[in-house]
Amino acid sequence: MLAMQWQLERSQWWTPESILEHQFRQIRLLAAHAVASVTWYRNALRDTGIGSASDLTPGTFRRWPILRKREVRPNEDALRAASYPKEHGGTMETWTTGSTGEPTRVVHTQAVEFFTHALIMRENLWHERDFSRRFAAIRSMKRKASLPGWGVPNAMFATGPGCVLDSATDVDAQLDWLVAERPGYLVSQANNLRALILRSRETGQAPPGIDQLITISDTPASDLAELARETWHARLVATYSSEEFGSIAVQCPGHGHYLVHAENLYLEVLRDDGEPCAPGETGRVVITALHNFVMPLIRYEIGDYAQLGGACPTGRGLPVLARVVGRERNMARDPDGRRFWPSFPAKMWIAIAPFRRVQLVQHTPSVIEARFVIERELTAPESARLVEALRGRLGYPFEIRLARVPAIERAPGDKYEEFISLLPQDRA
Amino acid sequence: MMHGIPLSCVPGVEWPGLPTAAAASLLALQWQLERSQWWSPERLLEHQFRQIRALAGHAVANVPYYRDTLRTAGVARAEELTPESFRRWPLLPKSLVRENESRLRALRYPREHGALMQNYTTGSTGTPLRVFHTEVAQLFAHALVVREHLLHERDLSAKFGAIRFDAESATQAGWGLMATVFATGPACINSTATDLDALLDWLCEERPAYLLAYPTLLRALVARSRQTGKAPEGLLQILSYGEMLPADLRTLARECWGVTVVDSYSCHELANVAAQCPQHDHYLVHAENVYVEVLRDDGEPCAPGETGRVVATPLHNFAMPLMRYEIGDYAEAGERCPGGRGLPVLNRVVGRVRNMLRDPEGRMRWPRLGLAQWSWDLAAIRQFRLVQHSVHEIEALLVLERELTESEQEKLSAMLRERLGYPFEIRITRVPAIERRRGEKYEEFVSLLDG
Repeated sequence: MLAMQWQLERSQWWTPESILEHQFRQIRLLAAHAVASVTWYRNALRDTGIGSASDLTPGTFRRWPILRKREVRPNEDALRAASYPKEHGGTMETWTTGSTGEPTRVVHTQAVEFFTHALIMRENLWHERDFSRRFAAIRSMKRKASLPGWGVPNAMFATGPGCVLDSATDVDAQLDWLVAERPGYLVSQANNLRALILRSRETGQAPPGIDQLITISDTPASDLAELARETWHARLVATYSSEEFGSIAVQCPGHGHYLVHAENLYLEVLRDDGEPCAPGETGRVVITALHNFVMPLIRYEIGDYAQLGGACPTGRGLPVLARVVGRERNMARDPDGRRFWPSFPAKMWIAIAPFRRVQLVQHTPSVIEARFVIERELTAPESARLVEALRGRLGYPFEIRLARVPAIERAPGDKYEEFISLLPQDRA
Repeated sequence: MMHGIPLSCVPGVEWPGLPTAAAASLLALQWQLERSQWWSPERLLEHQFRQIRALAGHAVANVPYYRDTLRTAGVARAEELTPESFRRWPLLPKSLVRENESRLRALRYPREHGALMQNYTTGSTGTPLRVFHTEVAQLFAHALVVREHLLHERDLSAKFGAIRFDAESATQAGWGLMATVFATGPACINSTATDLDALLDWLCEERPAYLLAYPTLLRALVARSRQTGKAPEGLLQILSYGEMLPADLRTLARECWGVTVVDSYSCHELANVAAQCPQHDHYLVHAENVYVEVLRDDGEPCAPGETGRVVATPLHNFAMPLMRYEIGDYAEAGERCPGGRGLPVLNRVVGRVRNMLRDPEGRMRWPRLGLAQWSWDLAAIRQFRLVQHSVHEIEALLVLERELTESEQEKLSAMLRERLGYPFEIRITRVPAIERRRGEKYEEFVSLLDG
């Protein structure tokens, strides 16, 4: 792991040209493997109009067909490699509804997992975290727990303890927990962090000594960094990640923009016409995972929009995203006034029925509408299980209105939100 | 340097490389070394003493020779050792290592340190010395070799040449240890026993970008090249090791071949002790692997600019701990490196303790001969060594292409007296070769005076 850090610490300072050159060495190996071993890609080179994977360049690669998120689920088998080198290790899988709400399974290898962990480590090192302090995580689907260490960093360094809480926990209870745990670092969804800080301002109850707030999975509101600094004297570190790819980009140690982990993925930001955006332009994010040989995701459209940045003034050659565009996900609120961050893991949907997409809309404090896209009608028992599951996740017997819809629309540039609250929003 | 991407052992993953476990250990150490070199001297010292306390605790418990040492040092427990109290820990001269080899070996050491290995060195006195160490100690030694290459940003894709003692002439696919971690260019090896002209021919033919050799041999090569007009092309850098660096070698290499000299300070017992700074001519001590003291005659540490005995404690040898080992060299302590690194600085390594010039007036010093310059004027001289037999008499051993004329002999004697700063009686002896035993540092000045 430290051997990988040794490489990453060097490659971040390479010129963009040198990084691109090395990315394409890797892409050519990946593409050759994909064409030979993955049914989905059998004709991809021909479609791209080149004779051999070894001829791929950034220019020709733009003709490689885009893989849309919705194509992954029905073509899962075709996207799986018939074989891959055994040195990549065993397979593992992640499930995601992702930011576009489509339940998708992605399979990867131990080699990919290793890179994922290395990038978590890089983030910790970039932001010069003091490993002796306590690390807290408030995340979805996590049981409340105290841990002896920080997880991934603990494999290399002696670390302080860790503590975990489910992000579905009531905001006041989260605050109590933070005050009791006194972590040096806290990772959570940006909107959950924002709700915590706003509540802290209301009640005057503040966890002491938090040095950094680290956002995951959603885009932080523009006021979050300032709120964190003013209220908790903490620095905000935004990260951009997904279940499919792990960590995609992390806020630069010296600036507000994101640095893309170019050693692990090739990220394109594309205009509607498929051409690459210039710095300052916002476009679709398309990602190629460089090391996933069991289920290669080549030019995968992740469903996010991002604004491309210029060169990083620190001198790092890694590609820059000025910001990841996405609407704030809203908090749910129950009639008792409890506010929380609802999360609905993909596995939950899939266990009930073959949903394509699901979105929840809170209309009043007691009524939530569940909109879903599905190819057939739900049976009565499925409907009952869905209502029961939602109430269980939401922790309150809401009135649940089921609505089968042909599609869940989103405006260009909007990040999909699986939960939308139509209640009046709190303001700082 | 080229990007130096580690070789990957996972097919299909070329970048970033996923190296073998052995290579990953070396790179993981580089990750640490690249950070620790920038620590403050105080922080480095603090970490050195954490390690010294662990080593001393082990030594006192498991090494018969050190059983009573803490008491001698007036310290109750190893955990209390500080740089000050450690100065009361008795010095370990080379002669005591030889006499106490078995008592210096640990009765046991943690198995995680790996298998036992050994190094033989004859040293300059010709008496063999055996030092045991572990796989862990070797890992550190290898990591410092890698550090030295990386510190000087060498182009790993280029060809590497080495002239080694007792080596067979050979061409290799890679740079040895470096090639276990990185893709490297090829290497070519030759022996110090090869005739000088043949070496020069070999260099011109092989055209390595880097050349590793003993300084005296390098100087002889450069001098010969100047005489014959035959010069290697494509050489970027000379790497010298194993001997005191003659004061004039840097100038000669630059003037004749247009290359820089990068020296390193090492000895067989301890592996690499210090590497030349990438920005300066001084040496940076590998403080992560060895605690080096430069001591005055009264045992107190030298201030920057002062010259004293080099005393070294290798931090990771648990098989045969050498605590406060007197290498037998003298060095000049330096100020903190202006490059910002916190590693201790040695301005220069000046020579063996016993090889100080002494004149009848009782003055003692290390002669700085700079003889390459006159070996050109006296072109017939291939190699030389000065031996002091008495306070009045110096013998000049010369390897010659032909007999010197009388006037040349007079000229040489006059120059020597001038360089040595005293009108010594000079005796000139022509010899077929000046032999060097394995592990011996070649010295151009040797004193046979007592004490």
